[in-house]
Amino acid sequence: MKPLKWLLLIVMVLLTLGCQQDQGQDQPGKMTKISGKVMVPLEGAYLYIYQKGMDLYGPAMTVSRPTGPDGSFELSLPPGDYIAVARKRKNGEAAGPVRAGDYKSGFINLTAAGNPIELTVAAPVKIGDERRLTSALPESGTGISGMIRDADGKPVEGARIHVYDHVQMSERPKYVSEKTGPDGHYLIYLPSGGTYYLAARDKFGGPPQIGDLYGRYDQGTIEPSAVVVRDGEILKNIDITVTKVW
Amino acid sequence: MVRSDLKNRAGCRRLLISLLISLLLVCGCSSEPALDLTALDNAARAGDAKAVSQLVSLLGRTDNGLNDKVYPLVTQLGKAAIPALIDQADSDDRVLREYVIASLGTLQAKEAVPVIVKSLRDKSFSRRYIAAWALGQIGDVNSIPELLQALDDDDSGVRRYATRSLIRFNTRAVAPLLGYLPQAPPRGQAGAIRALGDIGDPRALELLLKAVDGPNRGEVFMALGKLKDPRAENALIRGLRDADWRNRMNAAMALGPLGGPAAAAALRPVLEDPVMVVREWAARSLEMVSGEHVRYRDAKGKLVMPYKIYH
Repeated sequence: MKPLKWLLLIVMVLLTLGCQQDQGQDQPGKMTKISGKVMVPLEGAYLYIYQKGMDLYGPAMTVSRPTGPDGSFELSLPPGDYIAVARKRKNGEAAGPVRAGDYKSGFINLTAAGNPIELTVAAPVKIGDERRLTSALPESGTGISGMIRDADGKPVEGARIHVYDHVQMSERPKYVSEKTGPDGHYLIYLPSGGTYYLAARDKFGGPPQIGDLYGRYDQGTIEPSAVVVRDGEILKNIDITVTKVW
Repeated sequence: MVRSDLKNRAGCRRLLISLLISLLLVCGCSSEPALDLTALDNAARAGDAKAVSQLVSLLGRTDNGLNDKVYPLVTQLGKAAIPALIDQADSDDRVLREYVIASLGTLQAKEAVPVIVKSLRDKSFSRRYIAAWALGQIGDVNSIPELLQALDDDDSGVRRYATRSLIRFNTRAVAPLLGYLPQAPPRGQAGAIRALGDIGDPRALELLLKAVDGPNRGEVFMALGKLKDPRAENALIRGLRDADWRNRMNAAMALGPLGGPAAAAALRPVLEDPVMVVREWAARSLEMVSGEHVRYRDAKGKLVMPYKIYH
């Protein structure tokens, strides 16, 4: 059986090496190892690293793996100044809004210069949240529904509707829908009727970045089109097409 | 019996070894050679035309989001990437074609206008919106007639991006838009009116006022508000009595930036309009015109101040 064992060993090594995916490009410069523990909660939190100047509520430059049972995390960063924040969402997701009841730390300034950095991060429970997801709103009988589609007209799964009450849409959204399912359909309840402005996107937080899927409810004009909802009305067929941000 | 067992075992072992070797060969040969994107990018940056072409081809590869990684590399190549991009701009692969045209738009490649126009006209290409977008980024006035035609396209994405691109042309698009407007089909006319409103050129006033009783009057009211020309005041005051509440809302909205005493007098009765959002906009505009805080009745009949729609 010896040749067989050797052969199996070789096959396993080759398969392991051959099937590895591209893990991205190496950053130049000596990498700084960042490790530590997130004290509360211990398990399942993520450490988000932002470069200085980035929107701290948008997508991070890099995100750690979820912390282990002892709260430990580890990642490596190229030299530079960063801001770190730990977050754990009750729904277990690594992205999306941090809602009341989720855990989040304060923002931690970091300078990576090659020497390992050990952090102890406290992440208390977040209380209160200005943005409200569909699930956080009572089914008021007032709302907006429609489809989110891609450039081919196909339903988009995993996107959210962002609802604004100011025409610039530059502030944080007032309400955010749950993610769409495979049928691309959304329904967002609103506490009252009024004039709203809508965008659909696959990411949450910060201005849309190149490569994101994004679409505004408009007709090509500089300002978005107003969506007028009356009390007690579910306004239907408010469909939005998302395309890549180029 | 013992000899037969041994023979069987040896046979099984040979079979197993053969199977494993086959598996190894299949695994080893079926996957493409590992892609070294950094090396390819470096070669492209060094001027290797084949590497540039290969990099552009990768814009069609969606596995692991590869094309999203390649897109910035291609656009960072600048003008050097344009010939290879033009070569693939009419690809049958709709993803590759979309990314290629987006790259040409980002690079503002004027020499690519003919091939992008071809894509805009090609109804079999489901992502034609990108052609309308790219023409606006490039800003070649020769593409304006194509964008005007696209205002009446059956694809709403194409219409939206054609409108946006014409707005990007700014005052250079005004004369062509004014030439298009009188003979345009209603859907195209609506797009042209929106574009003229956002450009805000006073030359548009006369034709907009002529369209004030037409099927796109709601759009006309909005555009007149953006032009901020007091000569539109009377037409907008008439719009406050429109049968469609959306048109009344647009007229009320438009009077705010341009209205005078006549507009103020006309807006006061609109505070009793049966539709709340019309009352709300009347109050907002009346405040802009008169400088006084104005309340309106909300859906529950309570007198409230309109919130500031702009920060």
